[in-house]
Amino acid sequence: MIVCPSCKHEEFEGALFCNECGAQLPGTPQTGTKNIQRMAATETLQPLRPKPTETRSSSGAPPTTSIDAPIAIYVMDAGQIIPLAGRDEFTLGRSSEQQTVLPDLDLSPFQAYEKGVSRLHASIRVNSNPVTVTDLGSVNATRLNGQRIPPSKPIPVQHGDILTLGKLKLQMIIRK
Amino acid sequence: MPKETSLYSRLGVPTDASPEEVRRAYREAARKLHPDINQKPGETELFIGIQEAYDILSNPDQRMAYDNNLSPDVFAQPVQVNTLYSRASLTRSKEPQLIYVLLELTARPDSKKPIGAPPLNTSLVIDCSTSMQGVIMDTVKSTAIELLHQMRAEDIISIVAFSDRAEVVLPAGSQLNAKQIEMGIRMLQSRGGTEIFRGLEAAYHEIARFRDDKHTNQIILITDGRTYGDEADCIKLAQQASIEGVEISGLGIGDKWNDEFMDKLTSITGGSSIYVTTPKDIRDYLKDKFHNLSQRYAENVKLDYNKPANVDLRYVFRIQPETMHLATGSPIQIGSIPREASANLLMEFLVTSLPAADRAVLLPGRFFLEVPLQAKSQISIRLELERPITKEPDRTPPPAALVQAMSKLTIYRMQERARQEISQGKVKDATRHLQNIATRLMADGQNDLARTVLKEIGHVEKKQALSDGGGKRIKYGTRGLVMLPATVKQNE
Repeated sequence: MIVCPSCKHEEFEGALFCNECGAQLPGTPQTGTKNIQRMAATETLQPLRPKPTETRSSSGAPPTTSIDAPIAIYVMDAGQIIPLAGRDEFTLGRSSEQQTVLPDLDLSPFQAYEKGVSRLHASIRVNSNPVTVTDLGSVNATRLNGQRIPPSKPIPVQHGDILTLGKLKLQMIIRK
Repeated sequence: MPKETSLYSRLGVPTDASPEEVRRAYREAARKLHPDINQKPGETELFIGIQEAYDILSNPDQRMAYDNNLSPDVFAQPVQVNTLYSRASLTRSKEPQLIYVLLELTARPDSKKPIGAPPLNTSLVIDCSTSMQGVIMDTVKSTAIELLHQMRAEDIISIVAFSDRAEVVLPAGSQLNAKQIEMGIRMLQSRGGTEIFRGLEAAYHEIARFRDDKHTNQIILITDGRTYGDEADCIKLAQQASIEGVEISGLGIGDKWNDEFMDKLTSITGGSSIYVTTPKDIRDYLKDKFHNLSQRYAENVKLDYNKPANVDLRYVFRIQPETMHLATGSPIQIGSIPREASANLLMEFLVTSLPAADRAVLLPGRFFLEVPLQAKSQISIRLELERPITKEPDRTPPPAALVQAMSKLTIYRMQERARQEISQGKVKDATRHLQNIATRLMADGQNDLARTVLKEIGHVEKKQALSDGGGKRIKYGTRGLVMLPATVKQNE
């Protein structure tokens, strides 16, 4: 028997969570907070400037940025802006061990794994007009303003559009 | 060895047959064809062939040698099954122990390419009772019309409107006269009560006209009300539908419909129910549903199993596609496998005692499924869940994907438990569990849902029951949280 550390309820050997209070039982890997790692893709990108002071816009309009890249994505939950400059197309996903093809933009620091972002989830084409996003056959799908987009098809996006990769929300910032 | 009759076909077993299945097939054949009892000429020769097949296939070394000479195509399955266990081994002990298994079913990469989507054979069953009147009815109508325009030439669609009687607005067929149908839909009037059975029966009849394993056979029920007195008939119809490979999905609008009934009705067939409140959600759901229908690879997926006596399959939950608590009895109705993503199941086993051997079988079973667009559309795939038994407890941490899914599923199950306690009059236990759910949700950042739960506690204390809306928001809210953190194993 395993005794739940928070409510002393007894669970069978092999249980992962307490049925009584929902707490995680000892011996299981923690799912909650993860250390934010450096982004794997920063070498190929402009240096990432974290903006902890950036206030989240409540009105739904994307925040303005001093970074001069004309196109950027705003990670809504983290309040961080990532410029998309230096190449024509960016693949978005998360890095993992034993992975040969890494995404251009690694979203791991933003709980990408927990939020159901695939390793290669979507790509954003920035040199086209309009800018397009393509879902790369991700498991938990990509949504554009809440509407699921079909895989493998470039879909035009506009300034202020919200992309949801799994459950990770990104807002497009396009100033052309 | 003559090529034309493989040893497997002589015994009538699939190439992935387990030793037990080979033995069973042999015994069966022997009972009928043994020289001591057979009568017809030629049966002795037949039996000799079967005996020869059994001798080779029942010997692991000889079977492997034989298999190595066969073309790999013989063993190719259109669906791949990946298994993730919560522990590497079971521990030799007298105490019962739990083990979780996450199953992932994916279409084989190479079989994905040339294949489009199977044609639909779908019936929309629309509740036209008085309460649907207004914006909701208008949204349903306009979305239905929109969807009709997206149908491909080979798709078959029918529309049934029901209240206390049913009317086939659009009989099943693929030659659509869009204008005429649009008119028909626009003219739908709201009147009378809700008798779901009448609607379902009419829809089932329409589906049956074209039903086969080359189509995606689906009934989509749209309702906002409780059906009275005909629940048992509906369930009976769902059981029939399940056997025939027709899936039923339910869209419940607003707070008044009976979610427990709808869950039961749909899960029997491998479908699911969903709860919506706004016209926009109705539209989104229907469009999503049709999109998903057009993404299907395998359908009517069932898991047939023989459970060992020392193992209890306590819980089966489908994480994908469409979260749903499934009935554990064999066969388990799993539903469908999407082309691009996967179908995922989470199972909880309680092992009450261990065999003397060094391995314990959790579940020997077989998936049965249909891949509509393949020449050989009826497929079966063997599943054997088993674990080694070790003296010392295994200390490797369980896979993160499994823990992740379980953390959310635990909340959903606490909610199921609280519901059950309320129905048994144990209000105190239920409120305590709801309180715990709220705490978990809060820790998870699900503040809105947590607030809904806290509000509901007050209602339960006062009325000894969940409110119509609150209960549904909690159930579908927590169910929707169960999602996989990307795949178990991605195809790269």
